[in-house]
Amino acid sequence: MNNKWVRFILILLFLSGCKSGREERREIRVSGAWALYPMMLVWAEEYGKVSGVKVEVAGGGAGKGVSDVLSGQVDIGMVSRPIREEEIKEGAFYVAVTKDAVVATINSKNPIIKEIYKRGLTKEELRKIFMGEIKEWGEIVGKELKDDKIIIYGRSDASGAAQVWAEFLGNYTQGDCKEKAHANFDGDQAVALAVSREKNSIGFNNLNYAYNIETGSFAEGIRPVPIDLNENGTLDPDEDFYSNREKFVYNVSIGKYPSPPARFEYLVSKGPFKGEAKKFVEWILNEGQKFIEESGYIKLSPEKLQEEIETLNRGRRK
Amino acid sequence: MNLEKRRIILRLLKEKTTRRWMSTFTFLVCILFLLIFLSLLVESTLLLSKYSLKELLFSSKWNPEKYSFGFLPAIIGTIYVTILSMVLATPIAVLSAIYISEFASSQKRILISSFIDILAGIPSVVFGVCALLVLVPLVSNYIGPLIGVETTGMCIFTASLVLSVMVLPVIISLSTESLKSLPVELREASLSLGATKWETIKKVLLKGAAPGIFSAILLGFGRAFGETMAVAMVIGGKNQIPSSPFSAGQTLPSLIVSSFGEMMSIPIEQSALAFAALQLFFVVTIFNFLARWIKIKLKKRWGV
Repeated sequence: MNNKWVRFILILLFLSGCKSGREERREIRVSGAWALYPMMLVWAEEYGKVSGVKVEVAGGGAGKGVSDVLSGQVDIGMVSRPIREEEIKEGAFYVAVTKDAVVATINSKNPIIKEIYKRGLTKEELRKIFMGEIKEWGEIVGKELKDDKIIIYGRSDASGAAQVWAEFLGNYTQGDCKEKAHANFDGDQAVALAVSREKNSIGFNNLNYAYNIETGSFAEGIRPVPIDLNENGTLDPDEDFYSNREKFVYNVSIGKYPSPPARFEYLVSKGPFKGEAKKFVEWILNEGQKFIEESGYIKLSPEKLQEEIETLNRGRRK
Repeated sequence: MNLEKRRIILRLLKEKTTRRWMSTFTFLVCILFLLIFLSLLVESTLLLSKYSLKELLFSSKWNPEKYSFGFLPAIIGTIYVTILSMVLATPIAVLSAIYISEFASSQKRILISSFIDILAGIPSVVFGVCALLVLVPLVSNYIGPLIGVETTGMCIFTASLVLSVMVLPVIISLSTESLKSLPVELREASLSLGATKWETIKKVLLKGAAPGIFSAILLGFGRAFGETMAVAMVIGGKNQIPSSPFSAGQTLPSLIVSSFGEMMSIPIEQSALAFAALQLFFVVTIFNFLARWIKIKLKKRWGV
């Protein structure tokens, strides 16, 4: 009996010793968009090496990131879509840290793939395809082909990629695209798989699914769709940058590829970034930029980078 | 003597406290049910205050970014998928149950039952992956052309196929239980009157086990109704009223799972998803009570 009490008191003493002295918390919690999750893991690790601050990263989707930040459960939220009015009203403040791009993807055995790579598709043609106004591949090149009915694939989950793609096509939402698609899939990977299996299909993917990250060439069975930007009916040399990943990424970062469907990835906080979180974001916008390309993302242009650093320090958007 | 008394009092005290503990916990579980219901209701109020119930349930336009929330396509899709999967699964399940309880030797019975139990324990996401990789191409390349329809394979029919496989174990094991629990005298009496084995099963045993089989089917219904992951992966996520079983659709659970993480920070959308959850909760609750009630009713009627 006596023995028990002694043990109990000792344990209590031990536990109270653990929480002695409230020093400043040297850890940062991050949650949010899956699209930015792999990049954030790299940053978290590298930043930990140089600063000794522990960064804990969780996924969950852009909405979870924002609501976690607003409710104070995490310090930084990751968002891979434009921040919504409702979120800004609640006090969300955001800084862009990297870019990625969404491309239309077709099957490598597409019936008119040669022509597509010669002439590209204009934005209007893409709009008509995704809205179901052009129903056959042959219509684009003015030929009667057999078995060329276009199959449209989209995303069933709420995703930033689907939103920026809809935005690029015109005044549309992800919901509009979903309704016009023949089938929608959960996640980028599933869309890529479906496109690689159906020769008449068209979908859209993040560039990391359109290209193979290791080799830099096209992913198995799918091809990105080149966009005819000046709409002159041919793919000019300066529009033809789809042959490998490196070339494509470079052209996105210098702004050759339109935005949307290129998109910024944001970090969000409640009100201006403060303390450790601010230091971390500052590091991301400076030293952290050198890890971006090897992780499969796209650097911000120097001007944009400068602008975001100023925004971070100002503590509000212009 | 005094010591003896103390010991007795202590024992009685223990007796009392354990009973109290147990009843408290049981009570808490019941409270949990109400708490879930209430929290969903509270979360849905924002949506319900802005839109009438009628336009929520009967409009077919779902476009959250433009603030239109029509649940009709998802509701119809849910009913469609559930009924189709039950039509596929029920006959197979009941016949299997008859075989296991009446025909199979005890060795076979153990083997089959363990396989069915494993089937029940497989996580739904595994079913989803299998369906995406095997069933979807099968439906689009073989079954579709066979019937003469064009389909991507991401459709109501595929989702129903997966679901029917998933509810099989539930219905089979419960039906087997109720067949097995029938007294041997029933079988003996029927057979001694000159009925064949099949006649006995048809006219006597199925009637006797009907309440159990019926509630098994209804529980399967509840399971099919709420299945999320496997369905979301193959149904095609399209918010429109499906024109045929081979067109893409949407169910209430797949609607919730595909937009939750992304849209939590937009109050009205979160509220819409909570409302979808509330509808599911409501229906599943009703189904469970219905299953119970039917069981009791049938038992009274046949005096089993």
